[in-house]
Amino acid sequence: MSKQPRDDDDGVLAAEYVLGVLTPGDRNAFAARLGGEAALRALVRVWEQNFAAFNGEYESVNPPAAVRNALHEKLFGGEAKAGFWQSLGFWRNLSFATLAALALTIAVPYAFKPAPQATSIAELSGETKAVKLAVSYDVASATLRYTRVEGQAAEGRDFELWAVIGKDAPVSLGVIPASASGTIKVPSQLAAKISDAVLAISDEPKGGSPTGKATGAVLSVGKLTPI
Amino acid sequence: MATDQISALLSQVGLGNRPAFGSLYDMTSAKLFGVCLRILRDRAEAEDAVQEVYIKIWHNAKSFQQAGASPMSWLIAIARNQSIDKLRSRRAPAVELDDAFEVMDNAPGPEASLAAKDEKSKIDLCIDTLSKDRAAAVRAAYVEGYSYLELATRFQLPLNTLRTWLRRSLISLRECLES
Repeated sequence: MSKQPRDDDDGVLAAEYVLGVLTPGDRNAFAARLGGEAALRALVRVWEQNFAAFNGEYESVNPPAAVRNALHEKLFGGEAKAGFWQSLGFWRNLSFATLAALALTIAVPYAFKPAPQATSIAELSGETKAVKLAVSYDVASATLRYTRVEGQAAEGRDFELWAVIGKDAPVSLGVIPASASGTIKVPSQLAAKISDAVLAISDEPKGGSPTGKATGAVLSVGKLTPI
Repeated sequence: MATDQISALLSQVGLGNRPAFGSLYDMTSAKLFGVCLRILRDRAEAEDAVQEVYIKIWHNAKSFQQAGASPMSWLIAIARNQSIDKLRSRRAPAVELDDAFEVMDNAPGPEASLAAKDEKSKIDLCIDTLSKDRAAAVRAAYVEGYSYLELATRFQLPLNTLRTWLRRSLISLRECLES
């Protein structure tokens, strides 16, 4: 029968290695070969990708904050953190994917300290370059973090942030501070609802819309996407 | 979207960008800790393991691009390897028989995970060509990190029979995946 397994079938051995069923001795022996054999590494990679379909079975569990701190200590000790990523000029030359990714980065004020999880992200942009923000949202702390990619409100004006939840009228989340990055606290009654809301920025008089509805042009729009 | 983001972070981590590493940790540590916890079934060990996982990620992020895998699959593979190595280095396997079988009846979880989307259709089609028991054994080996010995105990088969049986399943899977 053609399906009789042979002990020297590297393809099967690679699958056994990826599954993790080998004895410690066989596992170590296989791992030792991996360093020198590109073909074997390729076989492992193919099986890893095949079995990746099962990864949905792993439920997410937040590790305690102490793990993050211990990790930081182990890797970086007490060293000071570099700050050059904060330079805005650097940002303009990056692709959106990188930008969106880095937006989260910069939103964490001190590099690698306990920080809330981001549960959704959005990029807010419009046809004009009046204002462009990268935003991440953490539902647990009801906090939006933004990084300004482009644009400042005109003299005597403010940018106001709105959340559009389903078919409801836009709800104001307040005026966006002028800083390059910062946080906006979301009212608790909205906290759970805005994880996949559309966010929009309008041009308003200083201090925000006097009417509770957007009065100026909508300059920038983006949808929060849960991650 | 999230996949692009994790890729972008990983390439930054490969350049030694610590803030990017912090963000990568925040975005992915819950999933990877979940992996360690599921396989090790011990909170303290899983906490140690997940730290080792991120130390590896920090040092090996450069090699991600050339690996060409989806970023989440790549990260999960590191977490599984670390956990299985740790598990096998234990003297006696600590496993309760009760929770073994509940897994086997489960279809892939409803959770629309980042990672599950990659290769879904093909492997699922191929897994379906195996008998129910065999499909369950392959899946349990992967998800729970069971050794041949544990699988033999659970399926109440002699070790050698189980091994031959699983290898045949892997060969069938490979034929199906390559077809």
